[in-house]
Amino acid sequence: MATPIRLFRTSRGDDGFEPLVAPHLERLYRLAYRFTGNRSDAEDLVQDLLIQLYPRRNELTGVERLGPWLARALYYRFVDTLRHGTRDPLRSAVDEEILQDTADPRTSPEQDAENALLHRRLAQALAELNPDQRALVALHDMEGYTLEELQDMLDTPLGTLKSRLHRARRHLRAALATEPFVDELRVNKQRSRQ
Amino acid sequence: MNCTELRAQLDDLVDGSLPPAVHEAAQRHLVDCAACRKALEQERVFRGHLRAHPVPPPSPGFAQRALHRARAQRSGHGHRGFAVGFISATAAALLAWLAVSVFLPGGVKQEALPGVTLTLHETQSVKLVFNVPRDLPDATLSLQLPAHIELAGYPDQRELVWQAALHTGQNLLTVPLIARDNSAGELIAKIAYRGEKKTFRLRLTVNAPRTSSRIRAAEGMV
Ligand SMILES: [Zn+2]
Repeated sequence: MATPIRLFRTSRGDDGFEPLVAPHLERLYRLAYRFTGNRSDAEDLVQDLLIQLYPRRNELTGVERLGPWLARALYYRFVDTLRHGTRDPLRSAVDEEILQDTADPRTSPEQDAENALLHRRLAQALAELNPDQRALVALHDMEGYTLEELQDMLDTPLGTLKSRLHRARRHLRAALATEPFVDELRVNKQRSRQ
Repeated sequence: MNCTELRAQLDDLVDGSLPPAVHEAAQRHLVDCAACRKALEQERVFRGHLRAHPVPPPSPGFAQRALHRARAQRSGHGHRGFAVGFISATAAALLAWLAVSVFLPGGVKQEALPGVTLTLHETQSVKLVFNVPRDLPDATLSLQLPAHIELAGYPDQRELVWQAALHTGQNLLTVPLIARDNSAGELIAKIAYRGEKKTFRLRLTVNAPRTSSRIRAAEGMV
């Protein structure tokens, strides 16, 4: 029957989910890529999060700073996913296709090759970190969240964050062969004793 | 501060998280120590590599696809039958089904019993939100109105029944109502789908016409 009632409007965005979440998707994907190391796992991770959040969308409207809230939710989703073994962390080692695309027009072919090698080694070394370390490097060293923010976001004491970062960076530096100046440090110490 | 001490603080130095006094001591050491300056520079280069580590764009249309899929399924529920989804949603979230949020002027949201106040002889849109756990492509909807309240444009119609497709999540139904006298009553909405039925009652009260501070619209979540 015809009714004067405006029948169910369920077109995109009507439920308020999209306007709420869409502005954060780019950053979330970026972070997910940092966590997982490849595009398809990053997309899956963000997708899983959205599916998890959709039924809770009313709750999201009450969140004061949604960006960090979502980043935190993504982190827990990532760590959970790995703990439950539904994703193979080693699969994510290196995204070859992506590394081909990183050539910078302002640099020489030699530099491009060097950068590609560096990215590949870094990607490999990141994949070797445990999920907590990796996520922390992603959030702090790559995406610029401060330690103070992360203390709240990850419910982890500052000291733990620092030592976790310290260990992670040591592994990464070694992989890039930039563990700094062990020899020089020794020389310098001898000198200072004189 | 000597070299060993400085190297031990290098992470914090680059992170800017040293206490001021230690930071100053580190800066003083750096002035005189080329090796530590070099180590600091190297650490900054390393951090630069981390920041510059490339992130390729997502696949084309990813955002829209992801939002669409999030709507199309509930986490962990997959493609369960209507009965299961419907009943579990009702049991787990009975309040959500029956709670009504009344939107007062000025955007103040007041949790209330499912009820709406109409103003006598004025057409007012009452918004009902049907929250369903999965797509119901051919649900039967019905609305029953109390005797003194009309559906705008259909003064003699006490009951409406029609088929509608409901989609996962919130489905908004706007019903224009006019109160013809000021007695209270109930609007009864029913959703039927393949043998399952859900009844929702909305209390309707009527105020004499006033120009301000009345409730303009209400949103009922079924
Ligand atoms: Zn030194």
